[in-house]
Amino acid sequence: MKKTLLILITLFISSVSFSQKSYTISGTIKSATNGEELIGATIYNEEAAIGTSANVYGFYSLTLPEGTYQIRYRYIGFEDLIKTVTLNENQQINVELAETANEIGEVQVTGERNDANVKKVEMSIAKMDAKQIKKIPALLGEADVIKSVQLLPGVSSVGEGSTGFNVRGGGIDQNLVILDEAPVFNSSHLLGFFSVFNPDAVKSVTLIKGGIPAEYGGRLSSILDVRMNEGNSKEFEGSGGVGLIFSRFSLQGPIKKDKASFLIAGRRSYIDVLAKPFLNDDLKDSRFYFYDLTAKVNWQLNDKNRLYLSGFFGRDVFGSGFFFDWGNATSTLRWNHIFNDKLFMNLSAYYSNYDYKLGVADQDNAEDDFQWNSNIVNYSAKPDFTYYLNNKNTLKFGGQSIYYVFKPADATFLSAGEGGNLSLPEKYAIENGIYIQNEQKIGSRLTLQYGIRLSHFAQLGQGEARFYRDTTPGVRRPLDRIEEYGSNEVISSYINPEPRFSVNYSLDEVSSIKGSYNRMAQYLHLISNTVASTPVDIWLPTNNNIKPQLVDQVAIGYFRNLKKNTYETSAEIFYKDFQNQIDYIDNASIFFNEDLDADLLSGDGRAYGLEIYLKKVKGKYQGFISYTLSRSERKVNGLNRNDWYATRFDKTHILNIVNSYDLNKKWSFSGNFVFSTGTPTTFPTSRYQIQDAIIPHNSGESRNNYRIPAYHRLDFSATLNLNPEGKKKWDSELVFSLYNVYARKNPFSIFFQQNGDNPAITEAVRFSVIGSVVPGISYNFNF
Amino acid sequence: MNSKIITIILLAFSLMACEDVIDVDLDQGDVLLVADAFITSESTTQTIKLSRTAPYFQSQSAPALTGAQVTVSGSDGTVYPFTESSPGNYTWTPSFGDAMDSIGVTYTLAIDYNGERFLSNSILNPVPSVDTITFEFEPAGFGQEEDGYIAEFQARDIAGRADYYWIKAFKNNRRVGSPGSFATSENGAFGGTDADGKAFIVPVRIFFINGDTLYQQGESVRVEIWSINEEIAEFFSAVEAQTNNGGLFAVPAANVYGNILDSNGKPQKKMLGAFSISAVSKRTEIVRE
Repeated sequence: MKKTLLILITLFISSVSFSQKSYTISGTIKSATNGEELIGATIYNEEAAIGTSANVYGFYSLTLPEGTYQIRYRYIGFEDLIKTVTLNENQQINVELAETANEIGEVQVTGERNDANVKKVEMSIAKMDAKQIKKIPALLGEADVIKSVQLLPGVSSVGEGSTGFNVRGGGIDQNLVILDEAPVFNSSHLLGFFSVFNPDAVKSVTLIKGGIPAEYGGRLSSILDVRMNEGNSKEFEGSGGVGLIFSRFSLQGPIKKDKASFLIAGRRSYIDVLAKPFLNDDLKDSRFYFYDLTAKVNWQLNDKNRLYLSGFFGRDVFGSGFFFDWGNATSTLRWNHIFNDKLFMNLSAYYSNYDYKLGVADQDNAEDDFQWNSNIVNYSAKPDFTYYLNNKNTLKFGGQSIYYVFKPADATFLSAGEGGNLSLPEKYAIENGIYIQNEQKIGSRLTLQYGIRLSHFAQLGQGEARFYRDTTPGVRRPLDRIEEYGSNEVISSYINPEPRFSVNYSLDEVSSIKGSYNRMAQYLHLISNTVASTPVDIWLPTNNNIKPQLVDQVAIGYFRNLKKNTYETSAEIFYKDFQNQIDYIDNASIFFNEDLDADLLSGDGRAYGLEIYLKKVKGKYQGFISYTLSRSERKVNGLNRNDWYATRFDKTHILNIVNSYDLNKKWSFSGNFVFSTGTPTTFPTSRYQIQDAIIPHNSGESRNNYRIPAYHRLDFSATLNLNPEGKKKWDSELVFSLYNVYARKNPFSIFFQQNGDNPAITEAVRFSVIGSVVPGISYNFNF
Repeated sequence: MNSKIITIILLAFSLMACEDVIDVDLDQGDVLLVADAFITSESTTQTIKLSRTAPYFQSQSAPALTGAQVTVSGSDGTVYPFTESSPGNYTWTPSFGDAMDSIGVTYTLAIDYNGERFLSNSILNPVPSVDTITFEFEPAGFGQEEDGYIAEFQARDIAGRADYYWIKAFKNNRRVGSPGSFATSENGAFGGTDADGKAFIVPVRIFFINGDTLYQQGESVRVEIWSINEEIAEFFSAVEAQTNNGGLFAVPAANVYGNILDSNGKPQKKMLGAFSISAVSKRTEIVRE
């Protein structure tokens, strides 16, 4: 550890020693069409072979020796812009790039430089923009961020309808999903059928699976960074869609041209309205729908300062004599400040809340009632600085502080007029992190990124710490003693240094080898003991019993672009070593349990695999193939005879093929094929009878000793552009889709039960979430 | 309660979902012993069933365990010998006035089989009476094809202690609900000391005694409350989780071990099942307007 630090410091110091008269060009790069910042746009000077790229706020800074230069600004899908700059002082140059004329009707995918895949130091990363996401055939024709992410190599889920996603053998709580910097704790609507992100409001999606930069922390397995559109600062623009399950509408425009703009986008499902005639009688009175609202304003105060205020509010509502609803609310205030041409700061402050409520809603009966609320609230401040030291070194540093309030259960009941309370006490915690990282170019071939994050977590009072005695692993631990703590008193605290390192060595213009190592610490844990996570699962902080989860990951990859960057290919292998993974004793009690910690087990994990990605990024035909060969295992004392077992989300092979073809200006087609090995599950060997119940039993005490059959599915969609010549201001299209074309009954799980008609007979039942082909049609418009 | 709500939500998605019975090959497991020992303080014949585990897909009744020595003894010193009246069924019939009905007494089950001894303890706890059973007319709809009645019972938790109850309902003497379901309640609610000594809460009073179909006029409805020990309530909830374990939110399949211990009073894995002694209160009503 100390050694690593020493090496990093030496590297850094060695890079600062130079002296030559240099000046800096800095500024922002935006779209001339709508004023959106172009994340990752490149700035390059050919003679000096020096370049850089714009950060997530469109800011760039490039330092060159005194002289006159041709500077080329470039972003895929936009016209190049060349500026001649005479450098004899520092200059601020803000540019706007014009979109490429859309001549052949193909959807232009925009993005950073063509060869970013090979040239950038980052690895194990995938970026998508809204246009790419919209090209992928989706359930009921509704483009979906998380479903698209699940097609990338190394990403999977336990099955259709399940919340969240698994990255490189990590649990669903190991992904930091952030929307404009604020974390989203449950990214799903309708359990897992749709994600909460409205594609009309999404600007870019970045998934980082490995070599995670030091600016990120708090989760083990991935960062899913979702950025919303800023809002068109040039003119008013609206878009929306009508589908079978929900409708969308968004509006954006300038508040003050080029200075301030807004975006507002909403969706609401009407499955409850449409499904009513088809529902069984017992669901006639039921309510089930979801909605979400995304809003944002941004204000360019002056050349140095810009403010963004964004908010998200989404909710799923169920009811039928009872009520059950859940959702996220986030709001973020960000301040971009340019101190000088080399130092850029973004200060974010956010509030995020995930909560659920359930209970009995019977207005006729005032005597009896049951209500249960639970939530996790957090407040955070997060300054991030980028210092463009020189052309060889870009330094990032900053920190974050998050204050959490957990309310695991606030439950009350009223029975025949007498009330009672089943609540569990609130829990409080603070998480802090500071980091520093340098990206350093050494010669023309080698780029290094090295840094360290120091994270700290403290469980705070007011509250109690419960201590348990050791017992046979796998058995509920007996309570030993309870200690009381006062307000803001530290109950337990942890510090973890998290070194991060990435390297890119260019073999030639079109290929490179990359490697990375990262350690991550995670202090929040999703307590979920079901196959698919439920909306009522609770998040708990690290405490005196639950230790922080840790992972060390190494990854090595080969990246190569073919045919003038038309094809991007990569192959990566990774190995992850997990510590302090949470598991549960058999038949653990999760809800309303103040001694929950006594039912938790802690174990080790490991995951390793190979990921191959082949992507065609230009032309009428575009698409990608991703293949993952991997294994994800846990070893927990007290489970599976204390031996390694495959996790519930382990899939040996995953193959995803995504294609799209633009036939002409009117028609375009897409098709997906997905295949994955069946997930592991536990099957019984024997049965026995107690009272009238026939109970399954596994005499080998094994966990996940079988696999359910493989999952595969084919989807199609066709898009008809109703304004092919672009003559009308009103652009619209019809999307026809078929999901699960050959109607495979893909098993989600296989379970065992007594036959309903003859309870003496026991049987295996295959449960398929979607058992037929699902057609869809949606109408999208933009004006 | 929680799983019921989730089931209702899943119904909402059942438009696309489907379940079908399939063939799977399972490993043969080792044969284990099983004790199904649920006795009461009533003055009727008490039966303890001993059997063995069978391959999961064998649909005959469980193979009987014959030739075991079975006794129950009270901490007050009384011994109750059980005799094998038919293969695997060990019974004891009280004569007048000597039922196992001393509240607060710990009863110990001892099973000797093949040179091995298994022990288990259960405390006889008090039970509150079923005070009333009432019926409310419910028209067809809401999952019901014909009009009928929803039953509701009233009972009040015994004050000053943590009580665990097993609640059973019978329609015309047939048990209501699926065979793998065990409706249990702590203090007439779902845990927490605030429920102590209060009337049973609504979900317990209604959901626990109504099945898939409504009650009809003229039918007899019997509600029974059995006092049980905490470990039996936990055993039942584990059994229920394992026997109703389908859908998106299935829990990991896990073995359920009851309260049968080895001769040293330590947990063991040779004999499955549970021993429980209960006080029982009952009330029967005929459904009428």
